[in-house]
Amino acid sequence: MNEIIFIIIAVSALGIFALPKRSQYYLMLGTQIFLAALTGYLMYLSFNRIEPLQIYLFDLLGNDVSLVIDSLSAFFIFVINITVLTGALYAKGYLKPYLRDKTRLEMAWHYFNFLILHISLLMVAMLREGISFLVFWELMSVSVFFLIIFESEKQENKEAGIKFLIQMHVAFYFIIAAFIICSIATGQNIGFESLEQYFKDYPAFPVFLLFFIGFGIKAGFIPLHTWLIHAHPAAPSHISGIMSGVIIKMGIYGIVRVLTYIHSDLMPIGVFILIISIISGIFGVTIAIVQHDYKKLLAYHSIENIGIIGIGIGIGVMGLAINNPVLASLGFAGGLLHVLNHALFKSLLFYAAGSIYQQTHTRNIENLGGLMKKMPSTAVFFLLGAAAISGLPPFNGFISEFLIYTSLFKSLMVSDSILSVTLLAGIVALAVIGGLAVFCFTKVFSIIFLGTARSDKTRHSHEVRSSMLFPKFIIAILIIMIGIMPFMMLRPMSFVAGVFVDDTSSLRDMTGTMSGISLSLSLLIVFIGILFFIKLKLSKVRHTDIGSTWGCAYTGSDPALHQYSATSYAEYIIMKAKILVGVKKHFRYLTKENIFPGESYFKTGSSDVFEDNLVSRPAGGLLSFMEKIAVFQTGNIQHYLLYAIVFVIVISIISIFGII
Amino acid sequence: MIKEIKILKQHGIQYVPDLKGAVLTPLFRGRPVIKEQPSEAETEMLIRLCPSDAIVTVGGFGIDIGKCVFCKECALACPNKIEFTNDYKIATNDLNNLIVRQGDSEIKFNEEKIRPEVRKLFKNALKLRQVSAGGDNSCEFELNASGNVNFDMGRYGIEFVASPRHADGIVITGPITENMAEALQICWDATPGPKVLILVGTDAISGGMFKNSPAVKREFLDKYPVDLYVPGNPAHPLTFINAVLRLIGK
Amino acid sequence: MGVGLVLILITSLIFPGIVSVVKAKIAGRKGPRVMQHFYDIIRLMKKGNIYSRTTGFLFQLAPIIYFSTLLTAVFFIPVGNYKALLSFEGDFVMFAYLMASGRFIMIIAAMDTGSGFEGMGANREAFYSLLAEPVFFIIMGSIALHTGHNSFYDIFSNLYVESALTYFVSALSVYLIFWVSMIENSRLPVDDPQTHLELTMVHEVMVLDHSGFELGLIQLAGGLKFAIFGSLIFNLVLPIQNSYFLQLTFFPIVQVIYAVLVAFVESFRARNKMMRNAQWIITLSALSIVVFLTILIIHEKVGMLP
Repeated sequence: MNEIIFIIIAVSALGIFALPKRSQYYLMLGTQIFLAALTGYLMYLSFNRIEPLQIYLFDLLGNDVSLVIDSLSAFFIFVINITVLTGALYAKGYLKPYLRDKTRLEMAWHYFNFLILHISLLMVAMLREGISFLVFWELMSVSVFFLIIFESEKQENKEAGIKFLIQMHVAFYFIIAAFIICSIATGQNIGFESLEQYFKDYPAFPVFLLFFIGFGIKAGFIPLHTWLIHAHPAAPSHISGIMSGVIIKMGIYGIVRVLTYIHSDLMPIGVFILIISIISGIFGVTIAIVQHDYKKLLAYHSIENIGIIGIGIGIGVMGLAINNPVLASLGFAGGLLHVLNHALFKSLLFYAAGSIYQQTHTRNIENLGGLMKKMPSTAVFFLLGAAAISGLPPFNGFISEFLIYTSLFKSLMVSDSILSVTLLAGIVALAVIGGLAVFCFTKVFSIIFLGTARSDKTRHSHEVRSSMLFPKFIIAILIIMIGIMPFMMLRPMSFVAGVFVDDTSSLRDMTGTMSGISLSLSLLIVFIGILFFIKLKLSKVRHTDIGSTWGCAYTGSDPALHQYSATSYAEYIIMKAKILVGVKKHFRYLTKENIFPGESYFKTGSSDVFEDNLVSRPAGGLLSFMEKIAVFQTGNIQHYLLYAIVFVIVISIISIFGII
Repeated sequence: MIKEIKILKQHGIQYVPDLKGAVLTPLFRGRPVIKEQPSEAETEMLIRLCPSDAIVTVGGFGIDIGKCVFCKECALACPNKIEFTNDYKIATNDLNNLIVRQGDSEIKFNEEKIRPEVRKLFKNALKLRQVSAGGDNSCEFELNASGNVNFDMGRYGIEFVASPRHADGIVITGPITENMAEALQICWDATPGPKVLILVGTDAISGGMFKNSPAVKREFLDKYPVDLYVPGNPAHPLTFINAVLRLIGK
Repeated sequence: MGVGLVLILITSLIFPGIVSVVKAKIAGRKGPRVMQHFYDIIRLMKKGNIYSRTTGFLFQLAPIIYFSTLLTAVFFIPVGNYKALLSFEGDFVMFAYLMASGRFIMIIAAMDTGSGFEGMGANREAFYSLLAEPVFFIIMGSIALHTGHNSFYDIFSNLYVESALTYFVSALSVYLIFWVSMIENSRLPVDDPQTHLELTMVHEVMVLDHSGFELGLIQLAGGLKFAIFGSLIFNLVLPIQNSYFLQLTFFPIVQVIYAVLVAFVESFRARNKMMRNAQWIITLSALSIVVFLTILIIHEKVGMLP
């Protein structure tokens, strides 16, 4: 049975190369739907079981490689399938303009990698054996690399792709190192099973830290995030959506999977995760506020949401540490639910951003404006995503943040003073992150869609075709459903949290609260409906007119010039968070000698302070050091022969004197 | 804060308690009365004397206080024929009622001309937007004073607001210069209906001394019905407040 | 059950009137009538609208959504012994986020006009409310910790002001909630609703383009916000829970005192320098941490004298 499935998938994957350009897409989509259905079935089987579902695959170097699916894996399978499928549906419309310019091979390679990505994501979520896990992990990174550099004509895309690849391999080395340590210390094979034994015998924190750094680079915790902010803008939008939605969540998956094996040292680990997550959340959203490239901005928001997920997971771990099942189950449930929610609204935002890019060919929000009139559906979807990411009711972001808040407030009561202060810091951090997200997204949405056009880049824009709107619509329905009827998620989340905690009754007890939320949201909708109805009735009797915006009747110039710009909107935050956002001004002073001033310039830009200090400076230092060594590479064969002779002489001397 | 409260106590009552029954100093130049018809020669002289062509001879002798700048030259020239009383209730909604003839004891308000929606909507609250259309700022000062502690028209719910969208009407002062004509039109268009149009001051009602100037452009007033004329140069706050109160039916 | 709701709704109509009357008296004016705010809203409901060409359906929908979120938020607040109609664990989080939703859509509507004025007000509003959010959460967190409960009703019905430290906590919380309400309603010292200088306004300038029915809803919402905070303050100062009658009489008294205090602040305090506003609001957040630490002391978690 397994062989048949494997053959089908292999044939489809390779068959993509054989087909003409138009049909390649459908083969890929079909295979992905097949995979989703298959894994969906496995997911369904695995829920409701106490023991994880095991399916034997093959033998590798004498070890059994099986798919091991517990509730956690099943949950991630669900997230992966939804995001990849909606991304694939979206890709049809998004890639259409590229079909003309790209060759058949290029498109086939893209679809092929997309398919490989889907497969490797699913396998990573389902495998426990080390070597196969690492193989598919690496395959995931490589396929994403090729997907990122789809538009390889642009130099910056290639650079972004290479930065991505390098950082993924740095992460890979950390993960391998951690696995090897566990394997050697316990004498078992490389894999997650060895962790069980290792964490029983040795202190957990050091190896956990190795895993955390490795998986954390993938997830995008600060200060390990620097690949994210280049890869997301460079990649085509359907890939960016999947990257933010699912690929960085595999980092979370790795961390959480490792956590399932740890039973000691939990408090320091929990506090550590909490602090890094708070930092990621606040920094991520603050730096997002000053960006002008909307895709980079969305990338920074992904970092912020990873922070929120981390806060939930940190709380969960702390709950395990003090043996409080309420805390643990609520914390994990909130953090992991946010994985799903973020995948939904972030992919929605990226797809909307992709539609904007397709119509305007610019990523700079300072050139946009007034798109609401031209692209109303995209605008509404973007607004939905923006409200969801800010955690506002009645959307899904609020539900996961609510769960995390509840866990924080409940745990306040049973903790000692230092822990209380940490928890309060978490509460304040969540509140501030929410407020900053509102700030940032009102800015982005307003500058892009509202007001009047700031340049003529929007002149030829129109609404995108329905194949691009349809996946956004599906995601929007899911967002609203989770937001208004949160009790449907309680049961699945209690299974997922059950992987960590034995007693998840507190989650089931939340049914009352969730019903309360639904009730209040229904009340809200009823009020809106009543007032809207009144307004409709009134507008028939009242005198309504259309005019221009009141600007104090200034007749001097075009009102579009008076609009707020993105930089002005963000000004307060820039002023207060100068160190963080690193907004720098470059300009040349006007000299006093000239009566008529000559040409001058003024430029503002922001740079990521972490990237500057952790990546660019060391890399620059390393490169300049390398350049000094490079004097030995003269290209002259006589010199190389000389090096060889010197080397032989040195070795002979050393061995004669018996040092080696 | 204690200091401020002490100062308040020292001031005593600062507001005019009864705005409708207040009595102004006899020096105030309010409604003129024509005690006796001037002779032909005197009329000739007065017409030449009046700086703003306010003398009306059609249908008998009269003074059009919509054009009068209240300089009192005519009263000084013929003191037994013309006298300026301190009656400040000189506003009306009908231009014809602004002409004072012999025997008139008050400026009449034309009740039929008041639009019904004005009475229905604005009885308890009226918000106005002031447009300063190029005058000498004297009426603006007085309008400002209408809202101060002394006169406090806010007690009736009458207020000047910032945005025409929030307003129920426009109060125009100044002769409407060419530079302000477009801005005035934009402001009027930005006010939601039903709305009132009020002209305050001689400059606004008739153009005052500037009516023959090429810089003045008054086509705006031909387009829309004016709800209230408040004469005066400048109009006294009590005039304005009583006029508006009369308009909204208080 | 719905008594609290009715009380809050009545207060929302009268509260701004009381503020205006007291302000006028302090200034030496005769002052408008107490019901003037209400008459203003009636007038607005009868008027027509003018919509800008630049705006879309969001602009017309926003005040409706804003008012609805506030109205829904009212349902969460208990008044003394009268339980709120919506009560569950963690409801104060939902309360805070509902108000944030309302603010979000109003900011979007303000930017929809494409005018520099509204943009200015919008970003200031977003910034100040962002800074003021933590105050509410820290105070609620502290008193949740103190009473061991998680919903508005449970917290307030168990909040007994007995020892000196709890008096201090209660007083400081009321002080902080008072200032938060001034920020949320865009009053002094953050913003001055009387100055019609767009460069220095926050909330007034955001609603510059609304007219008619929508403007009426926004004004109603202003009063409602005050009433909501007034009820929160009432809950914080109420010492014991027994007689319904006592609470019914005490409630209006507290609201009137609150209104008078608002009027006093509006009359005697000047507006902060615009750049200093952020600092001032963060000071409030810092003070709320004092509340938290006091609660920790009360529960002897920090090993000091109660």
